[in-house]
Amino acid sequence: MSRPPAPIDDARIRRYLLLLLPEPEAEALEEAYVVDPEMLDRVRDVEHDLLDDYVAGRLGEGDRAHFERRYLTAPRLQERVALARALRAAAGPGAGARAALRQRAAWRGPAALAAAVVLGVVGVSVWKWRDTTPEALATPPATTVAQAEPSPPSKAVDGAPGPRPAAAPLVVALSPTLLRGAEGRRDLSIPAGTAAVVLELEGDPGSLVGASRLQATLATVEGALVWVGPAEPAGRRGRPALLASVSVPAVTMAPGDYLVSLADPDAPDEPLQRYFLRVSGRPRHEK
Amino acid sequence: MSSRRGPGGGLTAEAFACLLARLAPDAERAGAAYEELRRALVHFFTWRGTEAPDECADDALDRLAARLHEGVAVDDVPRYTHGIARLVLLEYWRRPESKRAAAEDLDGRRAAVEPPHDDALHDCLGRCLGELPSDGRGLILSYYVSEGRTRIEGRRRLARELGLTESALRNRAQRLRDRLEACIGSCLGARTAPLSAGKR
Repeated sequence: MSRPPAPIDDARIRRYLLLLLPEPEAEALEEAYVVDPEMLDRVRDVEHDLLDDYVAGRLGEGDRAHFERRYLTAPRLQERVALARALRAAAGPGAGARAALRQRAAWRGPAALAAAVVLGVVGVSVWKWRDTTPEALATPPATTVAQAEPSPPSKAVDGAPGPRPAAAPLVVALSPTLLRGAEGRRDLSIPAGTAAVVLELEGDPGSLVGASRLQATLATVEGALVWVGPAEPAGRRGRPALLASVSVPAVTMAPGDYLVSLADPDAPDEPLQRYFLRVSGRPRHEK
Repeated sequence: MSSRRGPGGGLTAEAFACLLARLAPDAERAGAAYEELRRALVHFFTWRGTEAPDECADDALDRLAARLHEGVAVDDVPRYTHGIARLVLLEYWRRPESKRAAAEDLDGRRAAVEPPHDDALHDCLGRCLGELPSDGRGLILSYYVSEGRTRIEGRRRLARELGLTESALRNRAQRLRDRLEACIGSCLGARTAPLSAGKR
């Protein structure tokens, strides 16, 4: 076959996907991606971006019309659109995901899905009972716990009582990383007598740039807001990945899946980090 | 490896073995090459708008295997496969039901496929993500989290975090998305089969 090789750029691939490429060029591109898996990957990549642009409303009028004519009339392609839409909603704290969430009831649907989904991936990267001896409290992480212990003004939703004076806080380090948490993931079991669960929120310190104060929100993955309170920014002593600590009354954390968000109180709808937490044990307190 | 299920059902084990032998000298690499070729064909038939891209792809591969088994001289198997795929496509378009659909498409009379219900979609997405390996779930959500101008930088950063090249990351993300698509397709299909059965 002696066809002069036409340069294949992303724009050309987009036109192919929208059925706008002249047939000889389309045929050449098809041969290229059947022969070369890397070319197929490239076409798929362009298609994913096209799908994502469509569900994000970023396509121009003309492209959108072509796209809908192509992708909304074939079942297999329609499924790709549906998946793009669902992934956009589930993918997390991007602006697009938030916009999608706002279109539905706050913290419901996709957010719950995202949380449920990611629970299998992220969450508790480390958890441990912290020794409450003075020596232990004097170490940097424990100091953070000790400072968080008095539980600054916070709001328990649904009338949950505030924390009782506690003997031993349960300290849990949460990582927002979707990629490293799986190995260390363990469900959190809250033993009887626990007054507070100190969440040590880890992540990229760069994500907090510009945030002078921090607030943490705990919600169930079904969308029910459970608790809101200030988060204490961490110093950089020894644990550069530790962003903040927050002490949550254990009584508010019934068994279930939770979504924890860290945000600037001035922009609570723009989470800087999100974490997922599964509580498998019911806290018990004296009445 | 996908099961062989060409519509004619005439593919023999010998022909299939012949195809694998032409794709690579050892079974493992031949299997991978076969899946790669099939994947390309499924996309080809999908992008060309056929309603049963998997069947068309299997049909093309069956014919390819048969030709090779018959002793047809083929220098470049993937390129030859593309030729067969085009033939299968032409035959597909000649089918009466395909002509009707195409005509409706051109006239703009063909109704858009009804999008899957949100709840069903989200249920299926949750289930299908659950079937991915845990690192895969994280990867695909991370890969598609950024958009616009941050997309490139976000993916670059993700590749660095994972210790992958950008190309390898893209490759993994795409295969995961392929798996998700296939899973969600069957999941939604299983949910809607009783309803759509009466429409066809």
